[in-house]
Amino acid sequence: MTGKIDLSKLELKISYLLRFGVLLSAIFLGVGCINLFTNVGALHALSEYRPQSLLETIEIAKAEGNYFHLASLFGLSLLVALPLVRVALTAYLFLRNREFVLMAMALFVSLVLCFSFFLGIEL
Amino acid sequence: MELLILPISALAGFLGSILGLGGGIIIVPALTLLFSIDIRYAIAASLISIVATSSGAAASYLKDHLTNLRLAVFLEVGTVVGAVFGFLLASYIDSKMLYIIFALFLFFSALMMFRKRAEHISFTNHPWAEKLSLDSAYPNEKGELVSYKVANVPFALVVMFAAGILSALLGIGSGIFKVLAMDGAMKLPIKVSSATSNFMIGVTAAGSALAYFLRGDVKAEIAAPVALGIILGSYAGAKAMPKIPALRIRQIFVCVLAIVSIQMLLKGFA
Repeated sequence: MTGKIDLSKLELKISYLLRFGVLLSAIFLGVGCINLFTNVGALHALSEYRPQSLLETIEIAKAEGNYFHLASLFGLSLLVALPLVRVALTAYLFLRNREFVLMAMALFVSLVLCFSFFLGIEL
Repeated sequence: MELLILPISALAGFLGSILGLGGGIIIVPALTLLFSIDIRYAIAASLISIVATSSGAAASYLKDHLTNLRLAVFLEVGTVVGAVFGFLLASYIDSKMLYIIFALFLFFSALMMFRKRAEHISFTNHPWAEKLSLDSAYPNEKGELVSYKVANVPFALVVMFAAGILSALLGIGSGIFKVLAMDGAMKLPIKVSSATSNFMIGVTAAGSALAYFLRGDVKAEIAAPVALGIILGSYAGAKAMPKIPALRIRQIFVCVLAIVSIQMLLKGFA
């Protein structure tokens, strides 16, 4: 019984942390969107595929002093990191609750995601 | 014209969060057809949209006890293993026939769901559900806590494994299969199925989204407004979901199932 109460309290903490992460990312994305909405026709350049790595994109944005673009990229990286943080926190939550089978499962999911990323497997 | 991305994404986020699906079904056609965006950038943006839908709604669903965290982690094991397996199988399988088979399967599921008017909740736990305490309670439309049990756990795990394989082979989000398995096989309430699927799809999509992001295919010019719209829409969806009658959610899900099955049939015969 005590375990379940602890779990819901921790769930609540995770939910507040997630909400903060999403809000922070939305603020950066909102700042980045100013760039798009003041730059009419920005989407036309994306009708054709031109490979350009993230590092190159960041270098170009820095050189042009395009801080709106940099803000968007930061907001996006924060957003992508959130689900991975969520699984890690879930594993911690199960550890705190001494539910080792579920903790092992959460860690296993994180490990498969990491391996798939490094092996270039798209899940 | 660019401003249109925000309301379209918000709609995708709203629907995605109440149905437990990513917003790809709306985002990819909108970006390619309305804005003439290259399909590779559109797919990358749709992966971001799945992560955004999941993250935007996750906080509210956790707080409202709609997400079954234990079940999400347990079933995610089947999905990720299936996805890796599907990736390895991809070069040996002709996906065209699979599209047709699963289009028919989804259409049949839509019909079954359409006929099902009320929730079919299990009153007994499967032994695995008992051992892992997978049963829980969720608030209904009146805010009262309703307990539910979890049935057919091994079968659902196999379905999740198959869902992982299919999403890797067919390039579709596996949210639809997750909701169907939880609702049909495990006999969970539709809201719990949607919220738990919502939690899971973000985790699976995050790995691919990160790969696309580092490769540079996630273009901030599209992905930022899409993600922002989705976050706003999914937040509104998560707030609205506890008040929406379960039957209405089921009806919207049936419509989406029918649309996806038609899309898959078209791909199969293309």
